Amino acid sequence: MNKKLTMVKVVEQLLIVSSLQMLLTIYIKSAVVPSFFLVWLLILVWDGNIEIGLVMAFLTGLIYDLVSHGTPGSTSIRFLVLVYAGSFLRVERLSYMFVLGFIFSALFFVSFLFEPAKGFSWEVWPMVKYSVIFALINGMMVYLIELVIRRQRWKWKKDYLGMS
Amino acid sequence: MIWFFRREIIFLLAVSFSLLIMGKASRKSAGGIRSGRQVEKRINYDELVAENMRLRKILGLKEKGKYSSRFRIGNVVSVRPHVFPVEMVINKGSADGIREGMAVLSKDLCLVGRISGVSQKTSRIITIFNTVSKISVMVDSTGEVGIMEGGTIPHCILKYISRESKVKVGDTIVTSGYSKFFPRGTRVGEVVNISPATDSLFLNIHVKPYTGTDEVDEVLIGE
Repeated sequence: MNKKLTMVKVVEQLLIVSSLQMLLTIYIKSAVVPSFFLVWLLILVWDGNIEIGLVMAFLTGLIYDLVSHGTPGSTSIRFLVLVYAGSFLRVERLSYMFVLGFIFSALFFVSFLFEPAKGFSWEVWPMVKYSVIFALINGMMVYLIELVIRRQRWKWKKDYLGMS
Repeated sequence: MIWFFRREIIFLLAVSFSLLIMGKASRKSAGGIRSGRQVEKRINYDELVAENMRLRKILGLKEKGKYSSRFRIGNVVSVRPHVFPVEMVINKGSADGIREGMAVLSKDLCLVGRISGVSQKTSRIITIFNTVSKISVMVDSTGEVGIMEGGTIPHCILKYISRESKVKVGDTIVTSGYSKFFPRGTRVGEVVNISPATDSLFLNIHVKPYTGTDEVDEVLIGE
């Protein structure tokens, strides 16, 4: 079965993910706000939709900056770098997806607190604590969403081939 | 050949666009001045009332002698990260009389941070959540002076308050006035947790700043 997505499906997913992300960003006033955008982008890329993933990284970054009052374009660059790096990894197993989702999310979180000339803007302990929480939530989301997708694909395949 | 490098081409194009947008956004925020029609659009009755109340408060603050110069009002153009921000950029710079070290207050006149860098049309603010922020503060009820440090969230840590102190949860923390940046009496936060430090004669006091989680779109800059 072809894993590649059609443009309509991508736009549909973008709308759902954007709505969820906006709700979270606006209403959760905590240091850790899960990033649906990052989770979605990683799943897109690891499912083989690299070009779409890169374009969406640019778009979702702009939306994220718009919602969170960041400098427009700054999150796009973060997403693009992560998606580009992720596109070189061949991730098949779900456990690898969780681990890589965790690592990529932690890097994304820490990148907001790092400034080349001044270093990190938080103390090490809170930064590690919150980045681990953020990465764990995102890693779990990558794992669970991919699990659901795979089960669905398997079900379709079974129905199509008439397997019992 | 080009098709073979499509991933790299898309990546480079998207990064270039992002940088272009970032540059444009910085220039736009540096411009800072809205057209008359845009300003007109923003004004409504509620805003006028809120502004009036705010200005009265500022006037009160100036009459008490806390701040010497007139306040400038700046719009926040970027925040990093969006909750418990460590850094902000506002659309007022040296051309508007902003100087490094000036105090930055929220609309409710609570401490946000201080100006750490100024260009002609924009300024950078280091907030109280930043690890480089160390503010001389005072417990309002007891008058004891300590240092409030940033870098820990969601609360800041108040250090060098004696174990014998009568400080209690709920006490208000204000600036002490010993720092050259912040005049005495500006509200900073509230004590939420007190525990004795295991290896010193002082208390570990957690202070919940009044600013941080709510969206800050406008700030007051004074000294």
